[in-house]
Amino acid sequence: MEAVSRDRMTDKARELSRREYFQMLVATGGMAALSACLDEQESTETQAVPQGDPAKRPARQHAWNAVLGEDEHGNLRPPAHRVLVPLNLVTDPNEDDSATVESAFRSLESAYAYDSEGLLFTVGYTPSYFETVGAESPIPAPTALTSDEDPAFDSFDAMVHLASNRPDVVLEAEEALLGAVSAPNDVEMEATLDGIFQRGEPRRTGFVGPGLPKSKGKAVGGVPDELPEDAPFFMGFKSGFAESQASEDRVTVASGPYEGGTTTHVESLTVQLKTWFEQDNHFQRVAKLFSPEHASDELVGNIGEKLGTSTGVAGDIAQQTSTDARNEGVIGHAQKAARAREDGEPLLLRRDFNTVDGDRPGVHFLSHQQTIADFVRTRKAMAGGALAGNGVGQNHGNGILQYIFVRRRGNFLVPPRDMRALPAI
Amino acid sequence: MNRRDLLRASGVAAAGALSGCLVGGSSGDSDADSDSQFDSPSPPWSRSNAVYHQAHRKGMAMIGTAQKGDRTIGLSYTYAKRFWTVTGNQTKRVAVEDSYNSIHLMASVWDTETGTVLPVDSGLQVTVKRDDEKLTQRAMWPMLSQQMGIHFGDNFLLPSQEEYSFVIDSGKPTVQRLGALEDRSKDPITAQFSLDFTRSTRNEIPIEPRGAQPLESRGEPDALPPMEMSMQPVAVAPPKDELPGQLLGTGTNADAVVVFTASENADGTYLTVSPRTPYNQYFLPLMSLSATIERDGTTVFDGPLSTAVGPDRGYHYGATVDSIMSGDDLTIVVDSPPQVARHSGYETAFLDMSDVSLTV
Repeated sequence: MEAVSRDRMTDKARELSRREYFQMLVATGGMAALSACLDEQESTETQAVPQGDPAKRPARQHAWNAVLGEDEHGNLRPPAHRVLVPLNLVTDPNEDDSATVESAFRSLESAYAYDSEGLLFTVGYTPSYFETVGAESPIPAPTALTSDEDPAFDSFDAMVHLASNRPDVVLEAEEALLGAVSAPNDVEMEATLDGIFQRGEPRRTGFVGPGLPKSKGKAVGGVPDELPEDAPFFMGFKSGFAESQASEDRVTVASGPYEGGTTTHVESLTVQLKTWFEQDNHFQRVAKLFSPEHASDELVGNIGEKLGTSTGVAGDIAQQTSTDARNEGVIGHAQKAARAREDGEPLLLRRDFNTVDGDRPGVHFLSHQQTIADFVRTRKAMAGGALAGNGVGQNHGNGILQYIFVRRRGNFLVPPRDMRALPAI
Repeated sequence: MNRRDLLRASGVAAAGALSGCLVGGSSGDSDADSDSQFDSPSPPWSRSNAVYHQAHRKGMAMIGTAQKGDRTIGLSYTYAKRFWTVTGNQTKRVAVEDSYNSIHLMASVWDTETGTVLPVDSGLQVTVKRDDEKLTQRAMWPMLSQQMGIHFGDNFLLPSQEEYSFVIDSGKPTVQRLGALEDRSKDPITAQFSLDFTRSTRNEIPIEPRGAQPLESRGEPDALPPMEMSMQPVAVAPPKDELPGQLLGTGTNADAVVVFTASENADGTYLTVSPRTPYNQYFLPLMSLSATIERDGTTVFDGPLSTAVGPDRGYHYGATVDSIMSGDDLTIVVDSPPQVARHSGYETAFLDMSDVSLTV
């Protein structure tokens, strides 16, 4: 069975570009995909993946910024390939299990260097987990946050967010954690999650980086020709500008049992790219994504290259959101969201990525924040409910709300690294 | 979690009654692709900042209606049509790329008892499904067309000739509601419709004229009249002399007709501003308007108007002021023009709008 799928994948590799092929493998997942991925790597002489040392990893699981590298403007470069692995407990866990889980994570840290060429990952726990182990959840259960959404909720126990510039690394790490690969990157796994956790639903995958949305869009279809070749995100513009991101300090839990940890919210969205690219022009897209001022003053450029490290929405442009709604008939997504800053600093550290899960273009909007309430506050500012009826509609002219459809939400506690293995047992 | 009731509309009955619901003129038989032969960015017969008579008369076919609580959702379709989206006063033409398996889907929501078409700021959404597979989800555009008036619409390219279901979620209306509509529910309503799509059924939808010649009055300063529909109301504004209160006057602006009335209420005087299209009297929604009232050189009111809907006034803009007296200078400032997508004949009108003034 596996051999058949491998043959098929090799055939497929001839039809697709190398990068399309790798992304397809990440989306497919499993041993056959990993095997095909490794074959392909071997035949094209890629550099060896650097091994790592657990002692060199910091105390915060979410401390990735120091090793991400920067673009030419000084914005951090997010890791290109992602997998969100959902996990369900299959045992009533005890302290030995906790040691086993920790050993599995440490094995991954030995196998891969602490950077984007190696592996970056976080482990988070849902309210269901805390309920299962009989502890009070430090985070609330997810809820619908806007009037026009009816999302499913992540109800599994834990989730591992795997991130690397190397597609074979995220695939191999996933398989190694669950016991299907014994020596990832030639380092023996001292333990695995097998027997403690099993895979839950849904497995989510994605990618971010210049050119990936275009090439991936070609592979699955449904992505309009108007999407610029070099756009790093499906909406056609850069995102995650340094100035719009909360610092890692800002999103770190400041006190209590999980001091040094953070929270994760994952909002899985379908993006209606057909209307966005075929029924709006560049002016309209810029007005809806940034602000009407950005559109009329041509501040953005084709894909956001004119913006440097800042969208420039904080301050005046954010403050005139309601005036813009009345006078321009349109307000920008970034402009609205910037109203939810505290002392000028954003509340969310975005680690979101594009996806074609379900063969449909979308976004897994994954962010870290000190509390889930910080996410809710920012998301409600972005929804702009109070602005509807005052120059803009519930979703028309109201940022990008007309184009995004919330499918799923999940809340997670990401403990500090020394508590990441089965907390609260 | 706000999982909403799903109403299974009488889709089968509606499809059975389809031939009876084809409206709009004599039926043709050829595969008539609506707009393509006249599909240029700016038709030579278009008129600057004014309404012009469109080139063809086209019918539509009802997919069904579904009553939910005190509201009704109507869903219909016709051939895919070009239209223009509007942001501020800028437009973008959306052409029909592939008309073969395409339809233009149209939804409206109205108050069942009064027949008042409810406003279009609610963010209505449609999910298109084939069996249980979700094909696409859209927040359709609020639109204005000569034959259908205000509706939600968009073009959909269907993958093949088969049965589809359309789940319509009305969204949450934000506009202020008056009179009999005041105590109506504001919760979103959901209805599911089904359509057994075939090109031959679609192509029975009448188009006039069918040949190369357009309607004689194409491009004239005029509009096709509203389609006569038995199953759903059209979003017309009340005639000016039927609006409640005293008629203060009318003005025109970028071809919009703006009617002003004043009526007394418990808090003072209610100023009604009712902008509508010429010829068909469709109300113009999603505008931002402000008003100033000057009396003997002193400003006695200066503020935004809010949007409201009532059975007597329809959709309009209004404010309660202390008083309006004979000799007052009343000025309406258009902060932004109607943010609705436009079908042919409306794409240049009601965009570059200036102030409208009158002396009471």
